[in-house]
Amino acid sequence: MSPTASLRLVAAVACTVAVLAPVSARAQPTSWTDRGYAAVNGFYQPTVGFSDLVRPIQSAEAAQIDTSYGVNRLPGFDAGAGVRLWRNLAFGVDIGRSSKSSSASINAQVPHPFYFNRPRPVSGDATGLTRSETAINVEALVMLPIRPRWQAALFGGPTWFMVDQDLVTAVTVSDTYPFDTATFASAAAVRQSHSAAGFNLGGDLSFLLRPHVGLGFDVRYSRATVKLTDTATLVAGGPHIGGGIRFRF
Amino acid sequence: MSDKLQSFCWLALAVTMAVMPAAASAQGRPTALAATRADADTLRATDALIDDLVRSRALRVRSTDTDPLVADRRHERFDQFHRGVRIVGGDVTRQTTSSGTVSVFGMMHTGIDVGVDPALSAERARDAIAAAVNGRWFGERDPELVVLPLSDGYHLAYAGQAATSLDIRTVYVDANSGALLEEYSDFISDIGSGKGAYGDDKKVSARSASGTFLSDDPLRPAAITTYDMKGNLARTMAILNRQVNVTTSDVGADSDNVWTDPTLVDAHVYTGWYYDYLFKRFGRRGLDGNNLRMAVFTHPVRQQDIASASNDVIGLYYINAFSCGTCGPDGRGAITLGEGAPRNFFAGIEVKPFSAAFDVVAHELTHGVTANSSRLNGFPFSEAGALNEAFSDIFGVSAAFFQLPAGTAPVTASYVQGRDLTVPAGLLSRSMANPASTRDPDFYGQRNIGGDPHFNGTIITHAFYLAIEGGTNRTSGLPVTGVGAANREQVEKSFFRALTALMPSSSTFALTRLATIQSARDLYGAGSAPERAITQAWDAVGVLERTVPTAALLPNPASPSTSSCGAGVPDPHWILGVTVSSGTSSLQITQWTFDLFDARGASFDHEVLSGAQFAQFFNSCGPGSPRVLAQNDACSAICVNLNGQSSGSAQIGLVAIDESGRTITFSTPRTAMVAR
Repeated sequence: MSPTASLRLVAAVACTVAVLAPVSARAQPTSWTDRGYAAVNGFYQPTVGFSDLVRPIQSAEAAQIDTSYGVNRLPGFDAGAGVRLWRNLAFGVDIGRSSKSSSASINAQVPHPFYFNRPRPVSGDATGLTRSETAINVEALVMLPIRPRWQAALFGGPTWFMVDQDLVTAVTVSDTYPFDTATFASAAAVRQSHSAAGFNLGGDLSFLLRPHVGLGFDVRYSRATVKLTDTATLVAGGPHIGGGIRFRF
Repeated sequence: MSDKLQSFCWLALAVTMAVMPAAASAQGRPTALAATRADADTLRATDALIDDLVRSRALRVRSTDTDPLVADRRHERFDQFHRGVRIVGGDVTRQTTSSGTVSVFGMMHTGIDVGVDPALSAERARDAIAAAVNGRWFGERDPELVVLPLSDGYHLAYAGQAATSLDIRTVYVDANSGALLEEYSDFISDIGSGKGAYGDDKKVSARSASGTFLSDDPLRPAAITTYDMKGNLARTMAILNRQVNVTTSDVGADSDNVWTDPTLVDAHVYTGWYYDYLFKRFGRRGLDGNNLRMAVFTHPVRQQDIASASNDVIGLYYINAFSCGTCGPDGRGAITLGEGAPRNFFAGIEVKPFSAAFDVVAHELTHGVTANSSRLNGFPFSEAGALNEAFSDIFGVSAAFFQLPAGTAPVTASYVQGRDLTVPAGLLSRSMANPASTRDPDFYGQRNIGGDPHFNGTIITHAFYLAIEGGTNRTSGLPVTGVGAANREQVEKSFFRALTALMPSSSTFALTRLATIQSARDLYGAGSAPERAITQAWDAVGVLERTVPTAALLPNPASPSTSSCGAGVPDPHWILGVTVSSGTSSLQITQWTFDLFDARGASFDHEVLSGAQFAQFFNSCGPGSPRVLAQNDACSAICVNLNGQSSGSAQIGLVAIDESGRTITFSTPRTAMVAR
């Protein structure tokens, strides 16, 4: 899912909640009386692809390895809680974690072992590249009771992302004398870990099965730009859709 | 070769061979064989004759190889034997395909009248060989009993090698008397100079061992090892002579694989590049086609010791490079690259180490290819020695064009062989494009048989150049339409295939012409552009089929010599080289004349000399004899004065009897002798 599409989805959910809220307000009380909330979700989050160009020294000459890390779909979970500060307004924190191994496509120019400036093109896929994200979402939340057992919420705020990403740093090739051509054999990767600040916003719809326990689903869009190396920068976060258990206390 | 001539050659050969086992004729002679499908009848008959000779063991297979350049072609090499004794330089190549024989080239000797029972034992022959050159016997086997063709006929001889204080020499002694018949250095050397690299970056394929890196290529199929002799000449010579073995400490080394010795870098890298050239251009796996290990020796002496070195050592180990087919580890050959000379040792000239010029390194390595294929020998009486050098120049320069951009700056490719050896550039070089610019011949009539083979080789290399680039030969004025630089591969392949598969060991220039044309025909078809270009090139440099006797008096014009001609010869005087060449028939010189003319062309001296005097004078390229074998030359250097006149001209005339008893007369062109 592209960032633009993700934003449209978040906006649609928010509008739905907004439209529903006044209707419900006519028949139901609009005030929220719980002291706070908590939620545990599983979610699914598409990432934004990125590329990296590295020039490691191989055979006494700089190779050129261009790696495309495609769109990935990270499964994750998050848990959060907050307290009501004033009327329907609450403050909370949500921590999410997602991780998955995937592949990347590589186009490389590998130096000739005997001659300068006679690179050999190779291409292939690197597999088992792990991408992990931990997001700490600080959120202001507006709870919108719709019916006695239905509640909607809108939230948003800053996010601190901690990203681990395996980056391809070298390739090995299969070649034989006279070494004028080569085929891709494998890639070596190194894990890079960096943090960056971003934002998040989203909405939640909950159905209370009991007075203090229910089910809900949420949509959230979060984003931060994380510079992993001088040559690799990725966009962390993205849209996620999740669902889980809701608590009121 | 014309149809008539080919038929004649075959007929002569067949008839003689038929009677040879019974009674050898006193008229032994070499016959150049060149039979191709252009004359199917001759080829068929020659092919059948080869088979008969193989069955009778007069020909024995030396090697059989698959052609890496043309599919479904095989090449056999045969050595010729006379009553079980190998004839030096008698060998034949036969090219076959699944549909039969394609070509036969060779030099065969018929009518040999020497016995094969030597009076000398092998042990005494060893001593005679060593004594003949003031050396010591070099080798593990007994001397080989051979039949040795010299320009005056055939000799039963012992062949062996002797190590002298400076080099290793191949020696032939008479198998009955032990007298020296022929000897030459096994160090095939080139004039050069140089030191160090030009600062260009190169990749060194090195082997990691015990925390250091050795100049021992672990990646190429052939073992390529570059030795650093650290200026220890005694050890260098001991290793070359196989008195001691190399050790790991002799191999070039660097602690961090960032090599700082440009001599070692150039030598090791260029040797690898040459291997690559052979493989990529010709599909050949190394020097012998079977990944023979390649050994390169650097730093045989120290440059700072040059002032105290003898002229012999300077000439061989400082300003020279050489290939030796029996030297080095396991005795299978090595090249040694001279150390060069510092600036101003030779009046403002810096001579780089000989590793600095890729074409020079490739030249020496090409000697290894030749030694493992056609075995062109270094006999001064034949043209094969010049061919050996010429082909080394050709593939030295061609390897440079393959690996480097063309240009005039250092570390670029050009037709000036050895250009990078000196600063200023090109002072120890040979030009293939314009041999006259380096005072080398560009026409067959200018050759100096018996002289420096590098000198005569430019006739061949110029033909090669013309076949690629085209142009007009400055001496003959004949134009050549070359295949163009973009198609240089066609001419390279034609020449390389001729060298490695078609040419016999005692090839002549004329036979080389035929072999290269046949090779081009095999590769690209009859009437193809490469075949036309090569044919035109040979025409332009005057290398034609050698059928009739010729004589040359060179140089023309000649300038007065500053060398002494001996007491009583007044100045000015001129030193002229004379070459008398037979054709398809052996000659018996019965008389020769020497004429001098003044500046107006009027004769003022006419001398008539005998055949005995011919034998006395013409001993520069083989034993002096009034007899000149077919396909051979007799040479002399003559000092001439014009009774004090400052200019004039000279001419030599000859009267001979050929094999059929006919009297033949021929003469040199009139040669001008000019004032300084």
